[in-house]
Amino acid sequence: MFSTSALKVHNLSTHFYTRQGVVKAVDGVSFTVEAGHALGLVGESGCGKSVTALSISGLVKPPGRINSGEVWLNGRDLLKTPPRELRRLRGREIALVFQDPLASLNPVLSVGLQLVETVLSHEKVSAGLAKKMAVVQLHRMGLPDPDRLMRCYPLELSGGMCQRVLLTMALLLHPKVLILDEPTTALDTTVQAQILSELKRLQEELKMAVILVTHDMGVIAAMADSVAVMYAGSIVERAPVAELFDRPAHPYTRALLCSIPRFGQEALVPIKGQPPSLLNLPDECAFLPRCPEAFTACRGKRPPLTTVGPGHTAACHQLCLPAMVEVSKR
Amino acid sequence: MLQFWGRKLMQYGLVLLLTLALNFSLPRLMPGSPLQLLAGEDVGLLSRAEREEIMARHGLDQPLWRQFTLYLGQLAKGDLGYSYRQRRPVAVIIWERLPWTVLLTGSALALSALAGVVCGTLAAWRRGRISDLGMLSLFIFLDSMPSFWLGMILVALFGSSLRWFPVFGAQSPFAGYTGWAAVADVLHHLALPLTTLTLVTIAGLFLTVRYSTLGVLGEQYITVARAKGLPEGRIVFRHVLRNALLPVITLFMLSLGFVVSGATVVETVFVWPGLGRLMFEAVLQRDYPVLQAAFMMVTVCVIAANLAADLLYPLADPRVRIEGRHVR
Ligand SMILES: Nc1ncnc2c1ncn2[C@@H]1O[C@H](COP(=O)(O)OP(=O)(O)OP(=O)(O)O)[C@@H](O)[C@H]1O
Ligand SMILES: [Mg+2]
Repeated sequence: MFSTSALKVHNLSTHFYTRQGVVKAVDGVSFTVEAGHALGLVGESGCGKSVTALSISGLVKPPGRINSGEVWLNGRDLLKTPPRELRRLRGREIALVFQDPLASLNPVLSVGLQLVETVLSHEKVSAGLAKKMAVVQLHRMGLPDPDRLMRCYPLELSGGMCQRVLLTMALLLHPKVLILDEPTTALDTTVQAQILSELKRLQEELKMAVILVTHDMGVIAAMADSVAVMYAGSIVERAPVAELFDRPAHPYTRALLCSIPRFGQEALVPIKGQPPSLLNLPDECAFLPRCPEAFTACRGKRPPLTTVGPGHTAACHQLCLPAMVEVSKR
Repeated sequence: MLQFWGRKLMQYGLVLLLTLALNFSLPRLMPGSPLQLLAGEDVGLLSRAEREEIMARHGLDQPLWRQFTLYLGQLAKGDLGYSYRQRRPVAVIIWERLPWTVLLTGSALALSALAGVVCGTLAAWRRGRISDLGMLSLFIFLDSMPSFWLGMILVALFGSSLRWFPVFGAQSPFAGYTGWAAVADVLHHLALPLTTLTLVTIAGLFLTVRYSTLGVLGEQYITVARAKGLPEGRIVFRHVLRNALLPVITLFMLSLGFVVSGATVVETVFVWPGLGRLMFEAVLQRDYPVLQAAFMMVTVCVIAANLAADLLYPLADPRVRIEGRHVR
């Protein structure tokens, strides 16, 4: 029903109802990812990237609750899908690789069992075939001696091996949408390059839509077609990857690009101040207290997302009122 | 793995030897002559020749190390001494009582483990709901109730008032039942003490299971199992319980060690002919050989249960197995 987009997230809000108050971890997030495309999701620690990933799969646990929003996959809204049907979609249509690889594997079950059960709970295949599928995919992920690995327990693996096992698990059933939360943190650069090229190959071959959460601009440059920048639970800028690197429109994006390492960049400039507490956020631009380019008109209201170029949007008062900026700068 | 088991066996062998030595020296360290401990207060009534005969029979005229080896030799033959009170060998008395205790405490433990695991898992799964809070308050209430008090309430209610169940003993006296009638009679007698004992032991298991299940439910690998689209049943039985029951295995095995010492209080309230009541009687009658043997049975069982828990645990938890492989 929605053109070619594999995944369309609309106005997603997930809040945590804690004793201290309501934490608005995700607040009105919207984006689409086309089949065969990869969207990079970047932002400082605690800005709501992982909660966004969990919300899309409907895996938010109390005290968190998805307050509003739609997640469209194959013409159906996942958030309104009954749990039984949602179970059949998870793992097969939409797969998620979590941030902490070692904590993601059950310590008392063998790697093989955890891979095979994923296949068996979705496909009517023999256990032998499921095992073969797992071994083949492990091998593609560059893991040596997959047969022996299948009999290992998570404790016997390194962090990088765990991460590749989890990627294998997510890719086994060739999902339409793949969400990767920091998929390369535990890998060294050579393995990382190998994994990324394998991911890229599968993504193109299977026309997967990929959401890639990362801090690593190198990974973004290698994998992503477009980038969404998150700040304090909202997306503040969205642009094709080259456009974002060349012409960042939001002051936060500019500060972020200066603060994290990427190729051909000399000095890193950290962003001043701390990310705001997501508890009781004021109803104005959340970046205001740290913004080097703030002016008086920024107070009192939220900036809407405005289009600044083809496929390029950003939420900043400067962009709505270019005339005013000129005035206040003078 | 074999090496691990071998080392454990050695460790426990040493502990066993130490307990036996303690058990051996206890009557010899107590005030008064060991003869008095052996024969009780009747010792004054015995003739000189009789005394010397008893001393010689128990090797009390021999040096201490010789006495100890004699004691071990007797134990190995299953000779636990002689009760001058009951004028019967202690081993016979104990063997008579043992099955009743195992029947009562064993079935109580099995029942409470089953109920504890089922209720504990359910409560954790429905955390904070009415069913969880209801079970939690019920079991804490039961836990705080002394077993003799609960037993007496059951006796008063179902025994004396309603007359549904007999209130003492394990069999109807002089009824001469045989076959299935005898079994039914025993079960009928078992009902109240079993209920009491189950109710007082269930709380610990319930709380352990509930707590550890809650811990496991918060783990990321459970969310990952959901994200993979596993059916709920598979998540509960394979991913949650496999982890949540690990502490319960240890708790259960350790309680198994106390199956023999049983529930002295419950057995006494219901006049159940088990080991617990035997110990109570032996204390009242100062029947030291019986007490000594009963204590030994209890300690040996506790050690055996510990050993079994230690040996079986690695089979349930690969983490221990893997670490065991590296530790020499
Ligand atoms: N269970 C919870 N209870 C209360 N608040 C939570 C909970 N889980 C997450 N949050 C809040 O939600 C916000 C977003 O968290 P999230 O894990 O999505 O951050 P992130 O962007 O993934 O950060 P990182 O880069 O460190 O992984 C955080 O401010 C956090 O405090
Ligand atoms: Mg995160």
